[in-house]
Amino acid sequence: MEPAEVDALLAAEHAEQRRQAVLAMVKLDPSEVVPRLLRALGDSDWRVREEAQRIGANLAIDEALLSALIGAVAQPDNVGLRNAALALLGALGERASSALLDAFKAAEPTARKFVVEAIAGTGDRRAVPLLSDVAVASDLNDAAGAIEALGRIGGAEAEAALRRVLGSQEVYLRMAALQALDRMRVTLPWEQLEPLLSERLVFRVALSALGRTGHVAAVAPLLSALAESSSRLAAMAAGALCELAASEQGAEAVARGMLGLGQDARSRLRELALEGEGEAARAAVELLCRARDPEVLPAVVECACRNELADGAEAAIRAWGYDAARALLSLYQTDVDAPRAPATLELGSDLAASLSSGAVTAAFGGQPGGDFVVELRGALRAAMQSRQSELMAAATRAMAQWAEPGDAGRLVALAGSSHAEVCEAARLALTALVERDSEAVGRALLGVNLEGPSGQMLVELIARTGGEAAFDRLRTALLAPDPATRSAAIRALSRLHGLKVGEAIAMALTDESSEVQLVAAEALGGLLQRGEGSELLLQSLLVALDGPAPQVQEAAARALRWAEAGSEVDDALSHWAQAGGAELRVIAIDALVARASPLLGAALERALQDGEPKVVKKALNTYAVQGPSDPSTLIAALEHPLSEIRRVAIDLLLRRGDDRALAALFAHRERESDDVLRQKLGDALAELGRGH
Amino acid sequence: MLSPNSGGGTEVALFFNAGPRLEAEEFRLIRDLVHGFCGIRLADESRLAVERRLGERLDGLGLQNFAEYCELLSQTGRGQGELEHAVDLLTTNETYFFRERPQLQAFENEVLPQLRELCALRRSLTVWSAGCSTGEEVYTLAILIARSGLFAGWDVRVFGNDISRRVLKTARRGVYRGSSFRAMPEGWKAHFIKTPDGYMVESKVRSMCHFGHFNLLDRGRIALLGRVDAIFCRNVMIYFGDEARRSLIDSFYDRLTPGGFLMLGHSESLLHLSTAFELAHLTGDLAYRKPSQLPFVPRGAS
Repeated sequence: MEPAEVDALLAAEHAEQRRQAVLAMVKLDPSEVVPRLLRALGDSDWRVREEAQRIGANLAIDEALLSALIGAVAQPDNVGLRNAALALLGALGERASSALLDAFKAAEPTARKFVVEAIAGTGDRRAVPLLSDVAVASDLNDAAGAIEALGRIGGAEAEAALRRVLGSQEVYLRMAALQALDRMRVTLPWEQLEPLLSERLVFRVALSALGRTGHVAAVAPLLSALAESSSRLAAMAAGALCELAASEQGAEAVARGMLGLGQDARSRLRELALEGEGEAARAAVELLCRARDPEVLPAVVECACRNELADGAEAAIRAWGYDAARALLSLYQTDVDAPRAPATLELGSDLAASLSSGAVTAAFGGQPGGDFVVELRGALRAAMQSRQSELMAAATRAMAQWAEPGDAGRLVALAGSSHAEVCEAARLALTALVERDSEAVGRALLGVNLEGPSGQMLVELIARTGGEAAFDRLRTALLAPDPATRSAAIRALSRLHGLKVGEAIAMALTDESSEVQLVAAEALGGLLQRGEGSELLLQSLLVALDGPAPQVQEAAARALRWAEAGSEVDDALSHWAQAGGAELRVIAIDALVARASPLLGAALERALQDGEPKVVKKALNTYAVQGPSDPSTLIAALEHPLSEIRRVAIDLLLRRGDDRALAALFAHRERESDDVLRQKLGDALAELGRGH
Repeated sequence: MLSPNSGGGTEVALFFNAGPRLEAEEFRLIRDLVHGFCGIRLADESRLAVERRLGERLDGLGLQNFAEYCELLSQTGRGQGELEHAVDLLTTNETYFFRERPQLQAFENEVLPQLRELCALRRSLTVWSAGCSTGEEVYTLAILIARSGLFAGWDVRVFGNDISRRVLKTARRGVYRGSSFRAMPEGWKAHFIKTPDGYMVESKVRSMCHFGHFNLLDRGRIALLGRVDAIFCRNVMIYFGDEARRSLIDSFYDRLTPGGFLMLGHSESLLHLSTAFELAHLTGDLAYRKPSQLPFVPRGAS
């Protein structure tokens, strides 16, 4: 496209045509680009300006471009052009900073602040000395701009310069410096901040910095700010107080301060907690928890539901203790149908349970909090009967902490609920209860139907109840019509111990479902692994290895790796390392390796001749690790007809890196028929040559 | 038609069949494949019944005629699965609780006490119902053992196997209706719980029982049972050819602990099949026993 055509497009009415003109610009002679780029940067449509910035950032930088951009920054008329030029200079970064520093020195007073802004945008720390000087200059606009630029650039040198400005006579500059330091999250000592607080303008800016001091004296000014009528000020103070409370020294002082909180500050915080949002609301919630204000509890529940309850708030509620739990329970009971009722109940329950590690034990014994615990359990049991599934689930989940032996039956019934959330809650509660009283859970599970989805979960619980009864129940579960339940029963059985466990699981290898057989074979492997094998178990796995279902065969081969040394197992694995499906052949080799079988060598020899690449690769990799020190086998594999096998052989020989291996690879390089492989080998050998 | 796994009850239902026609050559092929697969010998006169039962299967598979079906059955892999299905369709599995009462009473009164003595050291007892069909025999044996009171606190297993997945599903469920109870003693009702679908075997009994799926000619799968102390294989072998019977008897011998019992149907014996077992004379019945150093003591002999 000719320059004139670009110009015509730049003058077009439609923004899209002008954007296309920008795209076409890059093909012009460089000397033709700059004026048109500048025109585009000053376009009335943001899309054209953005395209121009993108194009400009990729141009070769020369004086003409920088000069034009600086001129655009310094001009007072077109704000859009200035901003686009500032952004482009920022994108050019350090490449533009020298020119900008020179430009600053020569700039008109009215243009200097814009140049300073451009310097800040480059982020180049080489500008800090100049900016430090300007920051204490007599021109307030220049100085404020430099202070802001220092804050944006950051670093120790900039921080030192800004700290010096804090001692300035000019309040406006002190405020700017404090703001810049705040932006850098610099922690200033109380002693440096304290003299600044008397000035109202600076005081507002100092609030965040006060939170970082960790100084007890910072509490009072922050509390006074809380009582301010400005919500913004109160929000900043709340955030700062939370930060102070998280510090070692400030925590106690904030706690004391919050317990003596005045009415105005309390009202402001309630407003923030209940009506505000984001950080400010979270900070207000935390502080009101520290103030033990029951009015905050709905907001606490809201935060908890959104997983936004700050650590400090959680700690504060725990410190609040049973009174908070009691207050939550009261809040729940005022309207059990309220949307947040389930969360309120659960939070109260969790809080009570977390008050001390021995809370549950203590509660059983009617220790401190006993009356409350009775009331809480009553509420939970009533909620478990609710028609609202959400409330039912919340109460049932809470029963993980509070269920007593007598609750087991109800929990087992709920485990069969049609609501997945309630089922899961019942599972959690029963899993916890079984640790406290396995007999009660065992009794509750006695007549329960193990068919269906909940059956799988219940068999897990039965296993946890342990003992003979559990074994009998699980064996009965093997009669379930649903293979998934039978599988779950086998997994559960495998948690128990004893010879008959292995026998029952071995029998499951006769199951008509190959899924169940698979689980049984895996479970038997688990028993072998933990040293609970037997002759029957071993024979069963050998039969399974010989069976018709490939996955079961594979599971059996995996399991047999744990069998005690014996030629029968080695013979079988060696046989299937040759005669099985490809996956089984690989697994059988693995098992022979794991068993350090004397038949491994012969099996590997055969595997190297295998028609399936993955088996050959397995054999080669095994050879490389376990085989003899002689690399002949790997070298021979360089002649394999499949390139993927040769690739493995090459990798292994390269890894080996001894003289014989390398000589073979050098010799093979020219013979390699696969171009990619030959190239790769050549590169690797060249690399090795450079290394030597 | 046939009930090779059910302890008797051969039924042949002949109706006019308008479906695909099974030619003599095709019948012979199916007969031989079934025999090779599970040892069941289809009599020549059962051709029409085979045609009717398998004709429905042809519809399900979308096959036009038996020639296509025979081709499917002859395939490696897929053919085995279909053979299993065919055998399932060709066999009727009619059985009931407490079938052949005198033999079961002899088992209860004479064999179980012997087994208690035989197994006293290990305190475990395993009984196998070979060809258990829908499970009534397995539960009958389990109830007998439970009621005997001889094995309280022991590890008792009653295992049933069948080649039909369909019957095993019923067996596992353990819920039965009217005809299954036609010979059951009155006092046994306590072992069942009424459900909307029928009567379910009580949990205590069910916990003793286990079911598995395998072909009685598959000696490898049979080995999964480990050692057993008594085997019930009633009215099964009558459908097998001699070779299959010998193989089965050999498997039984392998699996039985010395001194263990083999109970066959009334019309069955080991004559011409095996001399490895010894006869055990029971009151009103005969059983076979794997020889052991512990002699069989008939009831009242001491």
